[in-house]
Amino acid sequence: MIEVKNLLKTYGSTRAVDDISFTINKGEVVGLLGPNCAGKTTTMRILTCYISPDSGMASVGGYSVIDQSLDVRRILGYLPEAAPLYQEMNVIDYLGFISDIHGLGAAKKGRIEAMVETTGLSGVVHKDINELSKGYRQRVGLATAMIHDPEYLILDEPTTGLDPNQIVEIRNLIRKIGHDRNRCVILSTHILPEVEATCDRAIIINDGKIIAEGTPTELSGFAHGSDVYHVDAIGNSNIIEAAFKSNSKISSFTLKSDSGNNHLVYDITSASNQDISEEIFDLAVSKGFKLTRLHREVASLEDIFRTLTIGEAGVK
Amino acid sequence: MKRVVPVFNRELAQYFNTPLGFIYIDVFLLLTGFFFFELFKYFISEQASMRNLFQLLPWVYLFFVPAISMRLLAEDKKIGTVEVLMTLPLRDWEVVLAKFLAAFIFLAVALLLTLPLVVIVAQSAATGVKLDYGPIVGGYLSAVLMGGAFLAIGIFFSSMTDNQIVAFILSVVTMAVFLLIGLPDIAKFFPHAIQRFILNISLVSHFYSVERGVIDTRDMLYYASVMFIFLFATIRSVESRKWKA
Repeated sequence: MIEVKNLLKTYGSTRAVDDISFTINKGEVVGLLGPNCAGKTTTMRILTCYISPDSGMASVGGYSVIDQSLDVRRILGYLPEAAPLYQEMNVIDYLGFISDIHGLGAAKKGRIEAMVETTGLSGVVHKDINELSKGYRQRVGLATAMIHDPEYLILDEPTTGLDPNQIVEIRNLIRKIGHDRNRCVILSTHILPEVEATCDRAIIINDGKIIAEGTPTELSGFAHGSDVYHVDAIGNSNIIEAAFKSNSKISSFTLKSDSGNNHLVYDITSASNQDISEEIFDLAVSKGFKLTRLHREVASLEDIFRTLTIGEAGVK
Repeated sequence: MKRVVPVFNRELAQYFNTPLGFIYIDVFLLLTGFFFFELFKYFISEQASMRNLFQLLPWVYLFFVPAISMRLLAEDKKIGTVEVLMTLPLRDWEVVLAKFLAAFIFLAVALLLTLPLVVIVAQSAATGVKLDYGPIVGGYLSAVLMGGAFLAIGIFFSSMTDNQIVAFILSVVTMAVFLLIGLPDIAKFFPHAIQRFILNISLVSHFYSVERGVIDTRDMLYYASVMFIFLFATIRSVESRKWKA
């Protein structure tokens, strides 16, 4: 379990981490989500004992990051942002170097082989790290973070700089790691689909504060009435628009195109985030116009994120 | 403590796995050899001794040691691997000590490679003249210790910045000050009351006395103290990342 209570860290006059508290249980993959400079990296650096908080407490597996930092670092694997590595070493030597620091001993060879296998490094094990592409370096970083089979894994922007295929691979890998074993994974990202794709739970941070927390579905509930329905209809525009106006569940609609012959395209915004597809269909049947297309676009995490982060700033 | 051995090994291996170490050693030997033979006209001087080498060693160190020490911590800060090292189960002081010791061993190797000069001196000594090995052993011993003191200063400045050039320049300037105040011609400008003190904190005065064949515990203690003070400061500087506001 990772526990964070009232964590505070200031740099000059800015509060990088401003009174953050959260708990993460074993078996969870949690995303720290926020725009750049929101305090994600600072939080992770405190959890990995790289820096100390000004006040508050954080513990990993029951060990305090301040008083028992060596114990914390033994059970924790960390991939810093941009996966820094010793460029002049080759992959296998580098993995060996990190294994030795963890004191893996006899298990070293097996663990390296397992990590090379899991992260798909087998083609490049004897290459120098400075010859590797960004994607491979990221994998080497991931392999070193997991080399000692840590219970806690902290990954700072694990998919930046990767191409779309690699991103999918790494995300699958993270999911596998997080659920395969009784482990606990925290990853930070500013890419929203990443959270939807990999995390059980997301913590949205902005300006050093937690502004929302929950499963991706729970978070979708935060966006009120922003579901959009794309509707193609055939019928008289006056009748159709009157029908839309009469229904209380439709908050607004716009005519997107009118190609003549009564072929109309509308975007309808719902008043709540409940599915109103049925109502729209019933409306068409009762008012005598035809639907040729009805598509509901659920408010994405992206919309929620934008509403939350910009909304917050706007209030100030 | 066992966990830090790989850090030491990696540092040391870096000198020999890359051309870096060979370039350093080449330059070092070239400089010492050149000064030894050319500048001091060894062959026309009458005496068979290693004094020339030891006389100029502090000045070779002045540029050679910062060139080794500048990357020790600054490079890790620059490429970010310091974040990897410091989040592994290693104590800050263990990392600093491992890096220092690796550089120290490398410096000692470079120094040992000047031993052929001793053979040349011994060979070319006029028949009947016996080479006095006391000052030579003493000279090498204090050369190693002085190298450690220089390195400790260098690693301290390397911990202060992520720019190796800055680390190099700050080290050279600091070492130059510590060297120059030890020269009698410069020390005499200081008020009489502190002249002795100034000479005592200089890096060279202790060196020249050992090199005369006298191994004085005070000189050993002096080098040990310089190493201790600067290594301690380096550890604090590395730890300061935790509290930096």
